[in-house]
Amino acid sequence: MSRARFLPAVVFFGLLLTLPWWLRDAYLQQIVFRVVIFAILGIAWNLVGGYAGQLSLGHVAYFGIGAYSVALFHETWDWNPWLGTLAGVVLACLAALLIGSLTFRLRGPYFVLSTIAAAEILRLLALNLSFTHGAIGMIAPGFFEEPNGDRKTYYAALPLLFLAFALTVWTHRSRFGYYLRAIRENEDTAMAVGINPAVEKLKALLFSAALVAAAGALYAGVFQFIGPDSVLAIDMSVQMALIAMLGGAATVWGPIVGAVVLTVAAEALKTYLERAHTFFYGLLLVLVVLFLPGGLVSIAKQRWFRRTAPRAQAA
Amino acid sequence: MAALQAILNGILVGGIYALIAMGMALVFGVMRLVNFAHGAFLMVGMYVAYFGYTLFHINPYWGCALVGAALFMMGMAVYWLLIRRVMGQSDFLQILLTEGIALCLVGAAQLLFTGDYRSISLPLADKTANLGPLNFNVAYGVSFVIAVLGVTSMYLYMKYTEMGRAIRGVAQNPGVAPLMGIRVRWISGISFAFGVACAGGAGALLLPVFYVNPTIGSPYNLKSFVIVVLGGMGSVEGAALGGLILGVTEGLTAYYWSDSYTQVVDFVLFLAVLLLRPQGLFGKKAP
Amino acid sequence: MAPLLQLKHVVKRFGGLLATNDVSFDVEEGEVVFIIGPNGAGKTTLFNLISGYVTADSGEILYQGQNIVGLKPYQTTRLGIGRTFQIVKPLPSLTVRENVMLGSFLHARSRAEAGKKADEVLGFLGLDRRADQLASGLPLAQRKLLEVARALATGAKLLLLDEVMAGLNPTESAEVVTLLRKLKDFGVTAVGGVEHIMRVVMALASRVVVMDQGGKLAEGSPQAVVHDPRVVEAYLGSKYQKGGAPP
Ligand SMILES: Nc1ncnc2c1ncn2[C@@H]1O[C@H](COP(=O)(O)OP(=O)(O)OP(=O)(O)O)[C@@H](O)[C@H]1O
Ligand SMILES: [Mg+2]
Repeated sequence: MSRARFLPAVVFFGLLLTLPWWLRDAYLQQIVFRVVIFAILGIAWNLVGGYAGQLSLGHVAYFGIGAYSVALFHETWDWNPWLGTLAGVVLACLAALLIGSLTFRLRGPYFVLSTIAAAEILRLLALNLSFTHGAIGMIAPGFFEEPNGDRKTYYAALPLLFLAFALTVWTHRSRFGYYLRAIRENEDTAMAVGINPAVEKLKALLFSAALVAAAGALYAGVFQFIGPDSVLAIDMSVQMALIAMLGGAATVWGPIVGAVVLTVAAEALKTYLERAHTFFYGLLLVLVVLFLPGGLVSIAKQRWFRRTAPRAQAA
Repeated sequence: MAALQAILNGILVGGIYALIAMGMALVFGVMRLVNFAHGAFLMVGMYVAYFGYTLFHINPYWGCALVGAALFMMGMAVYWLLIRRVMGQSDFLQILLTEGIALCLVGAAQLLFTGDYRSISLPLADKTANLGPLNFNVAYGVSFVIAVLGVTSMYLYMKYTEMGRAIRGVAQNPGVAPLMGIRVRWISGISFAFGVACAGGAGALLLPVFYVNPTIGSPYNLKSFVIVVLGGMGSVEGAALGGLILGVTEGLTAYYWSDSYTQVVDFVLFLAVLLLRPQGLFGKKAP
Repeated sequence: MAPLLQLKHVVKRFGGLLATNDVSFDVEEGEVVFIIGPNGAGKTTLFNLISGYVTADSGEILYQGQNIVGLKPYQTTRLGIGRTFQIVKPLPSLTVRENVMLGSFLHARSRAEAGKKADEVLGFLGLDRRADQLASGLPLAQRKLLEVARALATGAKLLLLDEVMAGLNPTESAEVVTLLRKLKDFGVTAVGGVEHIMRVVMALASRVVVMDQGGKLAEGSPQAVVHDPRVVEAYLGSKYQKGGAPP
């Protein structure tokens, strides 16, 4: 039984590792790469938004910090992108420390708004400061030389996804995860069992920001061109939330399911309707909130219970 | 003198801000709901006014009342179809729902009208008038006057009509209101629709002095939050005053620093007020 | 030795309302002190003050000789003050065992150890058969017990029980009384209780503090207190005014 629990993970990561052998089409491979990046983002958001229940709509700030670090440190000091990534992760953690210690004092809509404001301040700075080249954006170095640079970057992204996934599995079962869920459901109860909500939320945000920043750095390395509207747009924050919610917030597989479904659906839609993606995301968000607040994973769970319940009785 | 000019410009914009923010304050006060689609409704209002002008030659100045009415109906419909279902649920879901509605509206506008920038040119928009040594754009001036009329009539409506009193009753004491025979749901719907109408009407007033495109609403979204927080969340009069303050702050920022940093200052101000004076600049009670 | 808990001239205002008006009393180790008083007398507020959910405007609250005014609730919990909530606050999406584990995590080194401690507490309170059920599905009586279980699991030395018997039928409350007598087995050295059911108070309390309108009206042994004319007056008077028994 306990070994069977690992089966889906083994299959999933096995498929991703062997991707070039069973999926030869470069376009499709690119979509899988996007799924991987979005899954990392969804998983990272899920720690704060799902487990801790803090609706952050400013997570793009950490993505932008990761992406801009790669570009900026390369331009000014000729750092290689790996060093830039490391710097981005450290800077994102510092930003998370600052933003978190300010915003986590607020609750409900005030918290949500303050996360947006913090991210928007960063976007506007990137848009107006001279060393970020404003709206023009920046050129970022690739992580690998050609040939096969994309494939190598893909293999660089997989460990990050695995790390994020493992972190979630651990969170789901550990004291830390229970503490986050307690905070989500009732801070008074949480404090009554000795939990310091501010500290636990901050821990979750640090993990989350580090992952998002690393994903942002990867994004910069792959697209090699970034700007305020691509790596600091508020829409991307909403997208991270949508991925986690669509799949199932505070579940291990939710963000991955969400990333797969959303990316594939958006891609399929794009062939028919060029400019429909914003509308599509909005519609999905409305539908999920109204009809599927537990996400797609919750349907699967219900099905599974219905199937196994009689069998369990018979046994 | 130039600083005074900056303040005057700020006041003119601030009047329109006040109208926008008042709608948001109303919805927050009555329903404890932060409408993340507020800016999107403003954008819809601008498009309605735009097509009213280009297709039917309806001047946005008197057309803003029509736009407000149209958006009122739209707000009603959105309330009954969607918002109603999440009332009483966590703010987490409420916020995500209104954010989803915002994306739908923006996305629909992109599909229907493309991302192009559109604007109308009223003859008025080229004229400047003098106020002592200061001067101002006449179109801004007219928009300001109409916005102030809108804010004032809204205020009087809230104060002196039966419905207005019921709305304030719910805002002040949602628990007790049903006991006094007030139908909270109905009131919530009306308030939401009023809020949307304010955004739409303000959109019409912005059209003569601004361009419209599908994403034009999102800065206004955040701006009205700033204003509502400045004025004390949920206080309609506070929001009116907050609008003027924000307008003047922006005017002065543009003058002393740079046009590009007005929004940065907006948001820093917002965070500072939330963290240091969460009851707003004028509120007395701690939340 | 100094008392486990000492309140000295504690004052708390909510706006114009004096919810706690110059209240002083001690709780010694080994004692079970019950606070009684009409609705709105300020009993829950006292517990909120001790556990740090509200902060006293003036006065001192000493726990093991240390002034704990200004400490946050999680800090008082870590010092060994456990509490239940009058309005029960279980986490509905977690199972009963997981709810209790939240408490036992505080001093457990591993998840397994926390689970073991939780099972001990659940067994003691007779909730073991419900352990794997979602807390949202529990009937009220057992949700009250769950509150106690969670507080016990934190390893509390001083346990504050806010109306854990309210809403239980006589058989159930008799069972709980028997259980509460054995709390020492779990390292609880003193109990503070709020209860409206006098039968329970008489059975458990070694001392009773009577509150009325924020102030301490009387203090003494249960027998002495119920015969105190001021207490009778406050109780009957207020019951009569409110036209009914307390909930
Ligand atoms: N956080 C608060 N803010 C404002 N007023 C409060 C607060 N907490 C309690 N009060 C008020 O303080 C007074 C005492 O309340 P408290 O809950 O302590 O009474 P109680 O003795 O526990 O009553 P009951 O028997 O009904 O539980 C009440 O008038 C109550 O309304
Ligand atoms: Mg009480």
